[in-house]
Amino acid sequence: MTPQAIMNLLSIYPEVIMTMFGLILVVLDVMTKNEKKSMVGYFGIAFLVITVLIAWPPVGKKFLGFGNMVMWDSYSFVFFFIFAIAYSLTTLGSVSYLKENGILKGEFYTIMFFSVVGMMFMVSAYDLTVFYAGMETMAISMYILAGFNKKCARSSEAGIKYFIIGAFSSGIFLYGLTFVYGATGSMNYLEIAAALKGGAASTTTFKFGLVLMLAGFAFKISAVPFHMWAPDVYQGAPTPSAGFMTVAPKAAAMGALIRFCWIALEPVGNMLALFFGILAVITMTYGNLVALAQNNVKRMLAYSAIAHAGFMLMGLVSMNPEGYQSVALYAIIYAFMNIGAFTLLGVVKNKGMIDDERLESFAGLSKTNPMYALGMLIFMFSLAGIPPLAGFIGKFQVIMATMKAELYWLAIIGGLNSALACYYYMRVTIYMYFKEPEYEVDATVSRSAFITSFIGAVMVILIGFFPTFFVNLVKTLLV
Amino acid sequence: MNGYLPIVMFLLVAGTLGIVVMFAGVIVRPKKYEKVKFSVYECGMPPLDENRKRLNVRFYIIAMLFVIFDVETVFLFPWAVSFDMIGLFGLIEMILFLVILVFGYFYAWQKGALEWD
Amino acid sequence: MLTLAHYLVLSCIIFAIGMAGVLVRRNLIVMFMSLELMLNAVNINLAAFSNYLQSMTGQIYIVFVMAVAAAEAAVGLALIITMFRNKQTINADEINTMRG
Repeated sequence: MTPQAIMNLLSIYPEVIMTMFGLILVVLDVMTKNEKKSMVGYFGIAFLVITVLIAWPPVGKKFLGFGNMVMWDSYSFVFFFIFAIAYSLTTLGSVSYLKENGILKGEFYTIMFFSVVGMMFMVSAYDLTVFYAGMETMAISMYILAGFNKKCARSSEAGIKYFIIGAFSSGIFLYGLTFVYGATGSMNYLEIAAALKGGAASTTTFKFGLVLMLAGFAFKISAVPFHMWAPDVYQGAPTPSAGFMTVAPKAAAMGALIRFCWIALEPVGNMLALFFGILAVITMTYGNLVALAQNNVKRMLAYSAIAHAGFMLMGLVSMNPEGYQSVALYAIIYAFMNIGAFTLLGVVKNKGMIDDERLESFAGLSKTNPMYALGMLIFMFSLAGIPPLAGFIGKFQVIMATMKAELYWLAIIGGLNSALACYYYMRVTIYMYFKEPEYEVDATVSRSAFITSFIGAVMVILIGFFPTFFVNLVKTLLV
Repeated sequence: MNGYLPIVMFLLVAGTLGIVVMFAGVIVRPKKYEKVKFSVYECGMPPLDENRKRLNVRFYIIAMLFVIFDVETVFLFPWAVSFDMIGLFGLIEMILFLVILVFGYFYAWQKGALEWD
Repeated sequence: MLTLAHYLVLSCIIFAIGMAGVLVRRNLIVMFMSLELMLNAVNINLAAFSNYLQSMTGQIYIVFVMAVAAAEAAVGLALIITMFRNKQTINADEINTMRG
């Protein structure tokens, strides 16, 4: 073993371990009985915990292997941690929902597990080849998760829409990428940056390619005006997959985008700041404004996911270390509160004529099911960013990073937007606490769903009340 | 462009020959119209039914497996060509790659994708 | 003599055909074929640039694009089949149960 070979192995060992565990999950899925498929998911959680412990990085160490193609450092680790949280919470919360809908299959967990591998490659990529392979592993898994309920027309519709638009956007992304490759002569982030410093940045080829690439990225993070797939997909997908899809792929795309912008596009950074600033403003404002008009809570959360993506983009715009630290923290908090909210959303069963997720289903739930209403209240307040809950801390950190970069206009618009967002989150709580029940609604929270939402709520409160600890934790990891 | 001249000649000759033979056939052949002559030609057999009918969905599964296991050869070819340069490391990596594929095959087999009924 | 520009124009035309196909056609299978056309245009571009720059990266990338296209084909066709079983149609205009 030469030092080079050891370095190569160190740079991808978490991914290798995850792939091995994923293959074991496939075998487990085949061997378990039909009614015990949730075991596959629980094994997946155990494997993830093991991998997180093994992969815990020495802070400040960087393993860059395979000819500068893959990097394992604390940045990759933090994002891996976010995916692990998202996977574990979704798995716990999904069991009863999947069972009720007759789609409790081992593939749900296996595919989600492999999508986590893809996301890890995305974030740890130092080369567009690795990045693309990771992105497609993630995206193809997501198409399946969106269309997972194959007996339900809406779910397969969501899968088809996600598939067509996702493949379309990767086509555009790739077409742009070829021009970036042509202009800079390399796929490697470091070499692209070197070529850009050497004058490739001013060529038309590069600019054309970059615009197309960024458009492809914007599709992936559902930034306006490339968002039109998001509400339908999130609404149609089975509720647990929707919770996972709003959190993990978005965090992965943000993580990869930050790394790409910071390393490869660093010489043209100031050009990008304005682009992403405008994108963030439109995304936030549009997401919030349209969410105001929604009567379906699931669809409202879908639009709010767009708004949150805009908020995370703000952290990218600031182009300073605080920026990406705040994005990582935001993604962690968002994972807890959004998956918690989606888990609770999944247990509502309306026995009347309307959809389960309609706002009217939530009317008067505080009287029939006070614990449920309290949990939903915590998640809604946190998503709205009301102090002292965790969502506030995330928004606060992002806005602080923006202020530090002296982008005051952006900070002000961000603040206004979070005020605007309060309204539609409040509507759910108002329905729960101040309206009389109109329909017969069953919101019995099963044990696993209870554990998920309990963990989510506790973490939201903990991060909210003791922010310094968590903020410092993220900051020490992401120096 | 001189290199393309033979190809142009060839195309012209081929095209003309085709047209000439067709018209020669029209002029020479006897003209008797029967019902059988207008039916679909199916290797000399009487046609069983329409050819645009819907196929069994199982063909799709077989086709999907074929696509997945077919594309793996795309990775095998560059590996084979550069085998003397990458040596043992390359061999181990390719074995790992194939082992992962075998897991997929095992999954498909256990799920009954290879059985017809 | 064929220059880089020839290849780029060719791939641009193919990409435009594919893109127009996705946006204009309403049959899911045809849309899917157009998506594959877009990916093939990307492959032509990569090969052309790889030859122009005398670097192998582009050609290696083509292998990845092809493998991903195959995986996408498997998943996409499976989704189209589930769609057809649910709604007895593969017309994209009739996939509209969700409206905001």
